[in-house]
Amino acid sequence: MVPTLKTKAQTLAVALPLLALLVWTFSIAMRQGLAPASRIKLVAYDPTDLLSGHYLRFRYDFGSLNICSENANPPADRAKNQETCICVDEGADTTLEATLVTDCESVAVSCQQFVKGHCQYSSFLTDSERYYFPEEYASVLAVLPPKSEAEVAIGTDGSLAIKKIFVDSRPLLDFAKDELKRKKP
Amino acid sequence: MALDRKTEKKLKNWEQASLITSEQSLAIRQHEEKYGHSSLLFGIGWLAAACIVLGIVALIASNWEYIPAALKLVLYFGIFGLLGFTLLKGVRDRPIVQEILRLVLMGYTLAGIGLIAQIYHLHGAPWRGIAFWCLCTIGLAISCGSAWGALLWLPSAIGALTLYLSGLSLSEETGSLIAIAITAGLGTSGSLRRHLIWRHFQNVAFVLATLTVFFYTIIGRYNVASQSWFTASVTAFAVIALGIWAAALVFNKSLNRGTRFGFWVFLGFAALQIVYLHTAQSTDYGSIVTKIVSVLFFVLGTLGLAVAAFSFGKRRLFEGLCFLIFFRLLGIYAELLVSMSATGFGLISIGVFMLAGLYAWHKLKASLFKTLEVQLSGTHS
Repeated sequence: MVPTLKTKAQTLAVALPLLALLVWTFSIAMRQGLAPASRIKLVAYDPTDLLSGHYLRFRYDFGSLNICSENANPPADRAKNQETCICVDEGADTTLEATLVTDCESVAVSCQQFVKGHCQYSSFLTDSERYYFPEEYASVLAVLPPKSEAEVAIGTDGSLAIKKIFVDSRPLLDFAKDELKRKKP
Repeated sequence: MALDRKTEKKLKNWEQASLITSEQSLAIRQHEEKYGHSSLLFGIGWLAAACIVLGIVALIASNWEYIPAALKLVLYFGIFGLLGFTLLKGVRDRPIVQEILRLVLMGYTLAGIGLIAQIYHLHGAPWRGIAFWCLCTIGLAISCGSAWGALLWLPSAIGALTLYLSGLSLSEETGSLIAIAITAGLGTSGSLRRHLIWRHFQNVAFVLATLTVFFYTIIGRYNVASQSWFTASVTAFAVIALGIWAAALVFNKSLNRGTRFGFWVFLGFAALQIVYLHTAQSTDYGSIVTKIVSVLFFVLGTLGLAVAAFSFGKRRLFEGLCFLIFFRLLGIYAELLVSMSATGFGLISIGVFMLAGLYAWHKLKASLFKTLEVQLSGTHS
């Protein structure tokens, strides 16, 4: 039977979300898989959120450079959530640190590895500041534990994707399990 | 599907009154039995399907740690494929089930975006997620046989756009100008002749734009005059935008004279209301005159909308709008004579007005409907 125009349109309507989600998933997986893994220190962020208990909220600690300060060069346009790029390099403790705040258009020339993000007031955000975990660990993961580091993949376009979180070199969920056991002997 | 009692009774009455022949009655019955559907059945079906989908999501969520990420994705896409195959091949001659599946797939797509975001720990601005969902589900929303698809899609798209714009930190005036342009765009597209593919979107756009105009202009909020965004350019742009919308009605030849006239009156008084509230702000903001003139514009504009609704065959809406006018008048009575309305006499007089209004409506309704039918006779779309 020859498919009618309506049948073709129906098939396209069903295929569109399926294909879009598949392509999206595949592109994220590829980006995370191919990019080399690096580590960045994390700092806790106010966990007040309707859905807190399902994910951790944090900020990346890129060292002592004031990325979103008004004195930064170029100055970050905080009101407009303007794209900001930072050059990063491994510090003394092998975690990534920001070395330069720069214009995103010429960032590829300015540095070898960079992270793209935007300034929200004094915070530099990369849209990857959440880490989801099972609800059963909510009581021990209300706030990001101290000495946390993220294993991230940084794409060639400067996009940052979080892979894992380590607490004092232990995977976050192992830490959470131990903490839970310690709380309920 | 068996006919409901009301339709069965009507068919019998029409047959007895020789309005339709027994063959026609039989043909209508057969048609309804084949294609008709009950909204209750549709609602229960939709609820059942939504429960199953939410159950799957909950199962994955509660076993989050024990299900590997790859398996979660395989499960998700597998179920998506199964639902899609059922829609395309399994239920071809069941329009209600098809419709439910389309709506379920729209919801399931949103759940998928959430699932993928969780697996890969993504966290972006909410408008991105909503916009992506809109992009993915546009086909499903268009292919919906009912208005539900458009009703879910269009406000989501507007929501995503609003969230995106609010992130740009635009000035209040610019934001107002954009909001007016969106409203007028929706109203204009909804006023044009119905297109077979876009008809549900046009209907939803028209209703959304009309409600926006109703709440933001015709209702006449006196405090609007003190808002910083209510500038001369906003006022002028709103009037022009409403004018374009009104002009679009000319091109819709399927609308009858009454509907077009009523809606022009509505848009005209909405424009007058904006101009009046803008000019009144520097002189007599909040004065009795401002309130009375504003309520007068509200009454006439809403009456125009009621006439348009009546002419379009929406008599319940006509009645509702007439009651709204009545309550607005009661409101202004209480507002202007606030000291008196707080006393026993004030309350008694409001009660008496309400009873008198109800009595008058009961007595005049039939003759009013008849007069309007004669005056507004024309072709329905």
